[in-house]
Amino acid sequence: MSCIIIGASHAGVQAAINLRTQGYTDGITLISADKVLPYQRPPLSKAFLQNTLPEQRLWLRPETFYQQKDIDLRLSTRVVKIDKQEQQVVLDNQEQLSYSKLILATGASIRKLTIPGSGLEGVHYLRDHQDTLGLRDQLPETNNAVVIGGGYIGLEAAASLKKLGKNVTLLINSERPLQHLTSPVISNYLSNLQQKNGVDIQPLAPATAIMGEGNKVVAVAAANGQQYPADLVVAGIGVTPEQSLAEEAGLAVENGIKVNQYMQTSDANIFAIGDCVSFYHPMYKKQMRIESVQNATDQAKTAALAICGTLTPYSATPWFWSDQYDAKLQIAGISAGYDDIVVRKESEKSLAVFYFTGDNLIAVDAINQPKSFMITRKYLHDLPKVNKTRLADCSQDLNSIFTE
Amino acid sequence: MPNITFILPDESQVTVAANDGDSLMQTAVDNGIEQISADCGGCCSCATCHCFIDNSWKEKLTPADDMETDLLENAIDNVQENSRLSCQIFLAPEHDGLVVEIPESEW
Repeated sequence: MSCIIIGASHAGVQAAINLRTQGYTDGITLISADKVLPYQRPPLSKAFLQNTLPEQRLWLRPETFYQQKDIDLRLSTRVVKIDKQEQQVVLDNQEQLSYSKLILATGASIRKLTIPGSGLEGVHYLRDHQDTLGLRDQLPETNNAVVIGGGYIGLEAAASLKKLGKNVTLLINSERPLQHLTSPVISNYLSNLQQKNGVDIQPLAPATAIMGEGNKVVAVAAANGQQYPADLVVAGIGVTPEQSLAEEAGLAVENGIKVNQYMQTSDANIFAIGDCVSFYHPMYKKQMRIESVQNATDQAKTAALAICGTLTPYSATPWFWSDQYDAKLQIAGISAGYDDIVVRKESEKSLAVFYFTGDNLIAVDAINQPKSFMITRKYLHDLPKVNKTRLADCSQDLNSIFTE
Repeated sequence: MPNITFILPDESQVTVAANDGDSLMQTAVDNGIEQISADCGGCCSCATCHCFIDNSWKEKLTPADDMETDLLENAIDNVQENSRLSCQIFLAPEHDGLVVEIPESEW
């Protein structure tokens, strides 16, 4: 028998690797809808878009790796059906493959624009390797770019396009970027940073229509009544968990494929990991779905361990990063639901915002302050009580604040 | 193409030929040395590619910048004077014979 992994991004590839490092000797089939080798996603909106990272550095592993580890990597292949009674998957070429264990690492799909003109040539998204290549192809003939969406992808795309010398307008629905993800302190810092670098940020300005001449985009109209010229539009308006295969197979789903603490779905032979998964996080005592590299790789390790017979409950501290211009944003924990913040500002370019519920620290957003990120990440797991006055005082040693 | 020797946590050794210009982390990952996890892909964000490099090599290595130093000093319990993040070390022919020790993962 064998293990089949559907999806070969960060989660799927890590699961295959960890099955082998755990001594799994049966067959592993790793199925990818992409036509290229499995790749890292974070650079797609940053270094790979800016063309400063060569393509072979994008691959998660070199091609020879999969042969050496006896991993049957099937590119350009989709699974169309899971039959959990027969323990089989059906591929888009009608081939049927049997499994003893199945791992769903199906990720998330971009949300597409639905406003008029969304189908025009020059409207792009950023999720896959192919998306970035499509964008890059159009860069030579682009002067004006409009980015739609004030999340991480929108901010990173705007920064990359600016670095490439384009005129960039960033249209966001809310009052500030990352409104639902971070505090006003961080939003304002990042907003100012974009403006200082020449990006025209328009808050409370959702795009209402994309105008074209022929099939080609020429402008974007926004709810503030303005029109912004555009040769290129990039929309980063979120993703939805890719759960349709699981749903059709009768697995439990609820904003993601539901799994237990070992990443096992409602079928004991089927696991699910990464962006597509809804799980109970013991740190925060609530059901969550997390879109991040850390979550993908750590859940992959948990699933691989469970398949190899070692049950270790998943409870990893979430962490994230984003790079925009000279700002390195590092995040530990999930700040949603905070009721208090403490700002530790070491300089104009280095600040950290610590998030609390009551006296308990729940997360940190650190900009150019790796120390605050790292120390928090190290101690965050039990949501510690931390002295807020000392935390705000940069003359106080951080390590001792956490260990007092 | 410098030859690099990795000493793994179980004290076994692996010697591989590195490409000039690649990082030490990339070299490990490309050669299936999974004890270096390199979660952030080499952008100096996570400290999961921690390693030890004998001090005799110090002069041939670009020194750690503030970001790397801060990550190392605050992330890792068993940080030592010769601790480095392998994603920040870029290899050249003069690094032939480099020996890198990979500690047990703390992550």
